Amino acid sequence: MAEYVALAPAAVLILGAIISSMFKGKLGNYISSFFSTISSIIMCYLSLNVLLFNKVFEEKLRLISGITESVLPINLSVIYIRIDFLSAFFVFILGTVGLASSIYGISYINRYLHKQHLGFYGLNYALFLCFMYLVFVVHDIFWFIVFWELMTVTSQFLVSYEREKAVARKAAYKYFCMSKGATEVIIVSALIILIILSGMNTSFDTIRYYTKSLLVENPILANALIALLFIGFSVKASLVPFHTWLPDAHPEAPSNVSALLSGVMIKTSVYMFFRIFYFFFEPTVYWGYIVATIGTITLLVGTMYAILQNDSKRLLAFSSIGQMGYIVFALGSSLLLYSMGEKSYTVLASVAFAASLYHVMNHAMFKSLLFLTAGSVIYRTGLRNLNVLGGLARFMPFTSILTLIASLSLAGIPPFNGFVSKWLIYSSTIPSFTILAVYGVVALFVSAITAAYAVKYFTTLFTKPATIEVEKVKDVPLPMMFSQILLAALCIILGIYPAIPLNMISAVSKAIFPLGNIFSYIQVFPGIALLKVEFVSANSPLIIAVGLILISSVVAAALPHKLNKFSVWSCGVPFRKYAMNMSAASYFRPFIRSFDEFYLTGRLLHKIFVKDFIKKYFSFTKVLAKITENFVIMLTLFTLIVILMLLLYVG
Amino acid sequence: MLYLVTVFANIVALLAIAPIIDGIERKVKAKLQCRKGPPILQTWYDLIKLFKRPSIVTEEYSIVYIISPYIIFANMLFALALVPSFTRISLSFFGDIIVLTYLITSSSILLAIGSISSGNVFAAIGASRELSLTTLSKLLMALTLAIFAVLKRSLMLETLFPIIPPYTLSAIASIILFAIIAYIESYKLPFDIPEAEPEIIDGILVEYSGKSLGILKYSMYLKRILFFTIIVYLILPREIPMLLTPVLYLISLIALSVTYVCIETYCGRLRIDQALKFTKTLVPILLVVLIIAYFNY
Repeated sequence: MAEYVALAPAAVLILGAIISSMFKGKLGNYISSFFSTISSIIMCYLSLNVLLFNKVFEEKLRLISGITESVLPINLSVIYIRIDFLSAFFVFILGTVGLASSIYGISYINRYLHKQHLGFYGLNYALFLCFMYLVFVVHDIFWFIVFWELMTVTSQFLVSYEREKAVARKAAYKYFCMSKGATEVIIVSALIILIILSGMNTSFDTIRYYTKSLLVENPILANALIALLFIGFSVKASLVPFHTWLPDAHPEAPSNVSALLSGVMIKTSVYMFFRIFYFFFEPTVYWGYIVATIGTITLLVGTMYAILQNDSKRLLAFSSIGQMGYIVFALGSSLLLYSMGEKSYTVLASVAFAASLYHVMNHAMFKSLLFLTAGSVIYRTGLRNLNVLGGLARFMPFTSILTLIASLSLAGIPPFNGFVSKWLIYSSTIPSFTILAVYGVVALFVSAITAAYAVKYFTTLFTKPATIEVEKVKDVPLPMMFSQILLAALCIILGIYPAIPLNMISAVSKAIFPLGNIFSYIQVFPGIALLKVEFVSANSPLIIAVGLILISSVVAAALPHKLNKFSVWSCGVPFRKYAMNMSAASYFRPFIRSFDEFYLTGRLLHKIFVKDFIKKYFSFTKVLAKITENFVIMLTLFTLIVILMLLLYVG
Repeated sequence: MLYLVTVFANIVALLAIAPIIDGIERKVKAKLQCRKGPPILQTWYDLIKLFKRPSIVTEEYSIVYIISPYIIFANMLFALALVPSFTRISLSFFGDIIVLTYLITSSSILLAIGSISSGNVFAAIGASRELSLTTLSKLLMALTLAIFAVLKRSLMLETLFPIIPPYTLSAIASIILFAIIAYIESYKLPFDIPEAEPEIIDGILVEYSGKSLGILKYSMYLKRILFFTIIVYLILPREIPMLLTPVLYLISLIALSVTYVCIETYCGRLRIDQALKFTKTLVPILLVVLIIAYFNY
């Protein structure tokens, strides 16, 4: 049994999926949640074993016995699974977020009872987790594509779970089309790799053997491959200009699935970016520039649009785009700074590398927590509109405090986790003598906007008075509260003890980062991690912060504190509860006004590249359909073209 | 240990003089307006009176409303520990200036959350303005930071101070621009839009009373002192003997605050969109300075 331990999470999930699909009612949900919880715990166990005790789990699952490797040109009968350090880092994130969202689902999904088939949710949810796990651990390009596709399909079913809503169906369709288009690009590049380079061997290690030197031997082919893979994966990573599916798709799924989509699924692309740029190919300067630039554009666009949103989950979805920008920007900076080859940049390059992975983990924690809290509000009130919601802090005190923690993490306020990773990003880019300094400035500016919409999210849900009469609701049931507390605790722990995530990242960096262990460049303190440059303070900065907070709380306690309640001051007129209010839409009106040019440009680009393009595309396909009239002819033509191109390449 | 005691003593000294500096400002302002003006210690008397009074909370309040003033105060204390004041010794590490900007922003954010949580619509309007202004001024701060980083090749306050032994155009411009940003950030008159008294009855502070109000006002004085300190140390040469430093520091602090209050007296309040427009015009100037700094001029 111990041999198949790396397959255990997948097996448990498939079992859960099969059993839960047989029940239509609550049982379908309970069984799926139970199996997903167990599987998530196994994932955490496996990944921690890899990251902390340097074990590597390997598994070769033979699907069809008897067929020897010489029969088929490509050996597809074996699934090669290997949890190496990079995989384990992402599996750990999947495990923790999966645990929280599975437990959350126990209560949350029951709100769909009598409306939807809960077994269908159970089936898809378990399979979705299973394929995400397999995407992270599979070490074979062919099976990677298979699992990638299956992951997309199952997540698409979950996005359109409320299928009576036209919005949900449309969002799922858009998501499906865009990821389908992206996958074709990936498949073509994979085919090139398979057929031309590695002689039909599909394992990652063999491909790496051929691709490592490819940038020197055949730079055109190598860069074409990187470009194809980068485009293919940046759709799932929702990098600008491929981000348009995300704000539609993520909010439509059930909230605990949104948490998984935003927290983990979009990180599968980041995982592949690390594989492409550090594992398969050597880092290069121009790819560093491209990735960093796209990251910066993404973080700017995502955040600037997040501040406009008045729908709780849509705001969080745009925020996910922005935070993905941070992650990709840090990755690009590390690529650029490393490949520039200057000795003074080694520290900055490794700090940017660590910051990117650190932010992946932090974003997973606080964004899933935010989605869960948005779900809790939906669970109790059924509303997502920030304009009408408000004043829930008195009815849901615990959820409000947990949301505050998550919002402050997102805003990057010091003791919480978002601060440390963002701080590492700035301190690794701003002091560099490249364009990255300007990008770092943009990122620092954007972090203030991030903070602004985090304030908007928290206050409009919980503390601002409501504009409609909100019935007196209770706080959420125990399973939902448990998973919220779990993630909030992680937000605090990862912020106060950066040593924990940085230890994991150092294991990853030893394996794939060319500069080796990041700990030779970073000094970790509670609450902050410092770069080892120039003079380094011997005193932990946080000790004094804690001391000062203690002092001020003592001051607060020593002074007399008596709370007398009085009605809100409204200039002498009696206070009218639902009328005297500011809606979410007018929160940042002056700020948004002052950036009118930005939004106008956005609208213009959308018109040119999305609306007009789709119109032209549809008219083009109509013409094409008339000409061919026969699907088979189209297919043969397409295949012929592909074969011809491949032959040209080989020749 | 001595190091920590010095940092602590610095903070205590700043806590003592911050309200006095405000008192001087009030006196100067009164003289400029041909009034007699309150005594210099008046701000201290006001604060003590506020600390003695109980806070009144609204019926719509939530817990954040009560806690946030204290967290803001703690944030300001931490920020003061990062800058040198009466002595040059401070809590310094690589990138402390980024932490500083974060502490300043987070205090604005907590103030906004706290005031919105009071349930008053005037407070919400004030908070919206505060956040809009903070966000844009963070862009300016970030650009200034990049200029400093290019000039001194460091992000540590200790190596940044003083910025002008090389008397280059960019170094001098960066000091002037930082002074303007400090002016915007310290809610001096053309920019006191979040707490516009005649317009939105004190905006963000409208529902705060008693001890909470005292703590908030105190934090604002500390924030002003923080910016003044940075400006002073950007200019103050390193060669000055150790014993002379506190004296010079105090004199230049008072000189700066008097200059600021003179400007303030002759200004009327801007509308929020005008203020944002003004702030935005600074962005291209800062970018030009950044480019000049890159080429060592």
